[in-house]
Amino acid sequence: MTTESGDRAWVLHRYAYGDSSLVVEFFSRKQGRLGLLAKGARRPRSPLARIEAGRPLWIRWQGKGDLPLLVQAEELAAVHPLNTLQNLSLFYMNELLLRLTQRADPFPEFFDQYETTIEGFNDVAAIAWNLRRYERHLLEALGWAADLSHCGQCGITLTPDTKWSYLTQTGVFCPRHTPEQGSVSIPAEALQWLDGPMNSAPASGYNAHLRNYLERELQVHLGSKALESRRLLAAYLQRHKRSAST
Amino acid sequence: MADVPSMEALEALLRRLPGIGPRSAQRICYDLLVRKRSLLPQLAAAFERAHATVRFCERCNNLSEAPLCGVCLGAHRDHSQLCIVESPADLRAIEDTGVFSGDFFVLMGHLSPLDGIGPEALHLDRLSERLAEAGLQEVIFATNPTLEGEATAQFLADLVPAGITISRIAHGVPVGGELEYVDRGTLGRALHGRRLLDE
Repeated sequence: MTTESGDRAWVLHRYAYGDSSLVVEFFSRKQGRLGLLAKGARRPRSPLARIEAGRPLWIRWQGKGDLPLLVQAEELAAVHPLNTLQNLSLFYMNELLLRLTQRADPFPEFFDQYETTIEGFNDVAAIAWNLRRYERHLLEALGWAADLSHCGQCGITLTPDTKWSYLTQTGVFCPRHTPEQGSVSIPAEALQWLDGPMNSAPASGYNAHLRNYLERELQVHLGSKALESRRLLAAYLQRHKRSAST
Repeated sequence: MADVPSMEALEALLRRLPGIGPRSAQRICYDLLVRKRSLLPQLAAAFERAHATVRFCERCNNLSEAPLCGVCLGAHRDHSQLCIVESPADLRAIEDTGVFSGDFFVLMGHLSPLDGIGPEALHLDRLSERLAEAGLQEVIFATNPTLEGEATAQFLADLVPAGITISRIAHGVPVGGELEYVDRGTLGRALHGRRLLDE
């Protein structure tokens, strides 16, 4: 896994290694998740001291095994300080990736989605639906996204102005074939938004439906351990009583 | 060193301390056991005493031998300012500057959701009590300038009652530094946190 040319990457997480080094988990375009040892990065004058999440980097590394050596990390763009909502949302994005992906499993298309989502943070009002789009794209990249355009029972195409239902890990169902147990109703327009390009905000009434649907779909793969960043984000939003749920 | 198990055990313990690797641990062991044997009982007694007497200050979480630490008991502290830091070492660093005479509160960490550390680990009940004290005019967040430190400051700022000034320590170009060699993120923060020339 040695590289001479380097790769574009974002920091997902970093933690102390020994007295003066860091282990940094990157999300890179060509390699996917990548754990690298940044030797001496905790020393104040180290050029690697300030690498952290939320800014695009060009990284080079060398070595093989579980923990190759980070040899260079160059910032590719100036990054403005993030506000609380942006910070907590970034934690959430990164925790999802760390919990659901493995090292050395590349997702170049999803890497672009990761960058697009962070760019979307510039408009604070758009953070909520940017995160929904991120969650859906992550499910797609991992091969866990359900078919949202056809009824899982009869195959009929999704039609607007109707209430459909979904069953986690199974699919969506038309009004005539709503499963008797365990299904949750959802407006067809919310499903259509998820099934489309998701390039603009969904109608405001669908935010809670979208959040609940994606949370359930992700939770199946996350297991019983809750996402701490989601809990923190929810606590922050509750405190601010935002109607636009995230 | 299989024939000297006591020394091996001492080395293993020393290696768990910050800044001490295997070779340093070995050197310290030889120094203590060969040249400075008289230090050993003194060190043992000092460790034992520290373990028995040092605790956390009931008011600010600083290290102390009494219920209240020396900073909290200081006669000339400015109680209108409260500086919030991550660790007792950070408190000491700010005290050593000699430019701050207000009160402190030590969080004993920072928010780090990816490590499973949430707000309940930061003694928020006691912080809320401090924030409700009469006469408080300014809260200074001196958490580290990392993503986690920023998030901690931003998250806790919501707890500060209305009418109290909330400030953040400045970040940016180090004194004596040259702009050309400063990383772009730090330089950006320095520009964001710029101040008027005559302040």
